[in-house]
Amino acid sequence: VDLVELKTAQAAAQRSRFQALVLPHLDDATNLAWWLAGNRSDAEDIVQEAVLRAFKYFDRFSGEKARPWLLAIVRNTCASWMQKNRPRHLTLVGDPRSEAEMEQGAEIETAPSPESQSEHRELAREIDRAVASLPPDFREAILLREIQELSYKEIAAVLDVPIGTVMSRIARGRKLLQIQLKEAVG
Amino acid sequence: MSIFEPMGFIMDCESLHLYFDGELDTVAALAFEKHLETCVQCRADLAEFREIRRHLQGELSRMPAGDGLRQKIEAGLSDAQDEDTPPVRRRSTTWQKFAIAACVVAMVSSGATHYLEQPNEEALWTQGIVKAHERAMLADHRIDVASSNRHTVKPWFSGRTTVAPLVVDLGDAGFPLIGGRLDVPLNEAMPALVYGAGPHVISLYMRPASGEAAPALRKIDGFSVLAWTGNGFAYTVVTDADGTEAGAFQKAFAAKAATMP
Repeated sequence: VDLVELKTAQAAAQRSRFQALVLPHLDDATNLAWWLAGNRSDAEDIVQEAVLRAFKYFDRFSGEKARPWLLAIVRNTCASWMQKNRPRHLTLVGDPRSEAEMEQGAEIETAPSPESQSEHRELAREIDRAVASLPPDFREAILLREIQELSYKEIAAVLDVPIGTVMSRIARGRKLLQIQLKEAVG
Repeated sequence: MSIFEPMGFIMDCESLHLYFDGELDTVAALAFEKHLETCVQCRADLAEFREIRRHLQGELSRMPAGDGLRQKIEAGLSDAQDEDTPPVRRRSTTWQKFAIAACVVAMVSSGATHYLEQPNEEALWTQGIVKAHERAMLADHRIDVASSNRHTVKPWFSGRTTVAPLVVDLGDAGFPLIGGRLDVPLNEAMPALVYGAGPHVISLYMRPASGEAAPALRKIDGFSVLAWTGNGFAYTVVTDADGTEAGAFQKAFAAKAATMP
């Protein structure tokens, strides 16, 4: 038995387990970071840092679901990253939509007819705007619930707040979206 | 507005979000549905929340992880592991072997095996062939049989290894066959086919396997490692060329292999 070989084999096994369990959720992690940070390059930095952090602490991961586990790390990385890199008084109102339009323009234009296409695009823009304008606490709760479809209990774990808080943030976030979209869509 | 249920449940507008999010148990959900029957406001809100959810899930912009980010992360993982692994290889002494054995016994008996990752065969194989490729490149011992003719390369292996490799000519696709090499990635001699890719060298390893698996790319020790299964073999490419080049090679090889008898 070669000690170094054994260690190398263990490291390789650890890594393939990480790749199999955690990396499939990279898209979800990136999307969450994008919506929390408000722009692509910050989101990528945050996700990269978060995934490496997750890898470092992977031995502490014991069998729970990998997706909420990773999202919790992404969310925490995001929070500390913003504290470090953004002045406190600057309230974040991201507008990922404008980036999305520039980068995915071609994909968005696949709707059937010109009228319904522009209508569809207008609606999508309103939805992006409504989510972007939510206060950060409500926005992350809504994203975790409606996009990630996590349970209240899982969201409470990701945000490290009591379930009651999750409940009220989702309720209030939803109310705000309802008001915004009612004005926009009618 | 609230109603009182015989089983003692009071359900009112407060529970609308819990109901909508599937957070109520069956009894409570039924009680809330009773409330819904009488509450116009909740019914209207519920319909709107459904609509909002449909829009969020269907139309909200999303940003997936791009290839650039994925590559950075893979590279970061390699760096993180390199820091943990000592660069100099040492043979373990007898007392170290005893120490390891004692640790293993202690871990098994203490139930701590959960934390000891079992190095799986697949990982060992991959690690083995990456090392073999690296050795061949460092020693400038790229090939044992030099030939661009697959009818020369294939028979050379018979008698030297139990695996009869599938050798195809990919010169047309820009990957000329350079020759073959005998490697010992684990404890058995295995065939490695050597192809050129511009200034780069590709080692292709194969061992018999059933089924099909889509190509999966990894970066190990700076090499692109691309593995896939098909045509009765599990293939692994190891090369200093980048992932795109490895992918192009894989496509060309798989296409050619599919036409072979």
